[in-house]
Amino acid sequence: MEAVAALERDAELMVRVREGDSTSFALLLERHRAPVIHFLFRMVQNQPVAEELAQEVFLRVYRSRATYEPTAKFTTWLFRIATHLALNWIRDRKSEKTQESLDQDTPDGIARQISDRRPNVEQRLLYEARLLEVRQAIETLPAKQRAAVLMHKYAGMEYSQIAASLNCSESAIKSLLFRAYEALRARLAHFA
Amino acid sequence: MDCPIQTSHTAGVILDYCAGRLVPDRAAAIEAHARLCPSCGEMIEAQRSVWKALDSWSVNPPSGDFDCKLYTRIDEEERSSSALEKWVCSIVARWSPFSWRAPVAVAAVCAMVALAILIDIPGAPRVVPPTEPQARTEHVDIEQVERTLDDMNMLRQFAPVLQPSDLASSSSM
Repeated sequence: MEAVAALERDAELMVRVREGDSTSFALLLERHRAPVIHFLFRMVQNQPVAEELAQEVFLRVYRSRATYEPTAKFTTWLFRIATHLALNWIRDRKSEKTQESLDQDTPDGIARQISDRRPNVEQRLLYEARLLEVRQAIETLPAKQRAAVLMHKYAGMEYSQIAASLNCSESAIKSLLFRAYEALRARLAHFA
Repeated sequence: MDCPIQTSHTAGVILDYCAGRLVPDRAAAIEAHARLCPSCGEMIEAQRSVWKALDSWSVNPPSGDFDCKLYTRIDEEERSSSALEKWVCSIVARWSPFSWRAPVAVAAVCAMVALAILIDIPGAPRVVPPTEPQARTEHVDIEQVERTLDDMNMLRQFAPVLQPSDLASSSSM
């Protein structure tokens, strides 16, 4: 019930944005900024690019406010835009190696922060190695499978929402996810 | 219960079970089945490992100036669109006493330019005007000429029968 209310609230906020209420846009941004950036980061595995793409997502939402009709769930629409931008970016940069390595410094010279509360250096190194393995496992998935897994696992989206975001049928998404998790199981089963 | 890993479609139930998206009754049925079915048990274990691995992938929070950058871009867009709007308004304002004439004049000029382009496209096949004799043959219908001659013959045959008064009355009609 709470989730349904939240979805209705999103649509309601967007309708208010359409009517010129900028506060509602700020609320929508506050609610969806982090999930969209995190999704895009996991898709492109590059923080500045993820934030740049997220800016474009919200800019497109703002530009489309006049024509917005609450026919689909707002989150589905939002992730559809985000997925479209991420897939385009991946397609355009396929030949380039843009993935940042974990030991690479961020562009502003600050070392990458990894949320790891364990003080043990050995454990920390192990954690970093495992994280790298997870990132590589996700990166080796075909772009559409990657998007579907990220929406399923991290955004908690339903099959119908993922299907709408990726412009596929629900059954196609189920088999896409099955194949993706099958590949991940083969690579990450030893994490138990 | 049937083994869910027979097809990719039904195996989705195991994904949902590991994701904690099943209602308690359905989850209990899967657990009971997994205890008896080694393949499903293995798949559940492997899927749980994947889930655990994915859970360990934490990400950085968005940068502090994200909103600021976004609002700057929105402002820039709005300013540029309002500048365009102002420019259009200033053009229209110049024509304010004859506001209806401006669009009409612009449309007329556009139509003339389009017509000129259509007529004078280099390399486009030109329509050659027909020469004089061709034009004539196109306009003269042989059947019509024959019909007219027949009518004249018929009138000639009736001419002696008709009185001058009849001719006068028919011409007055």
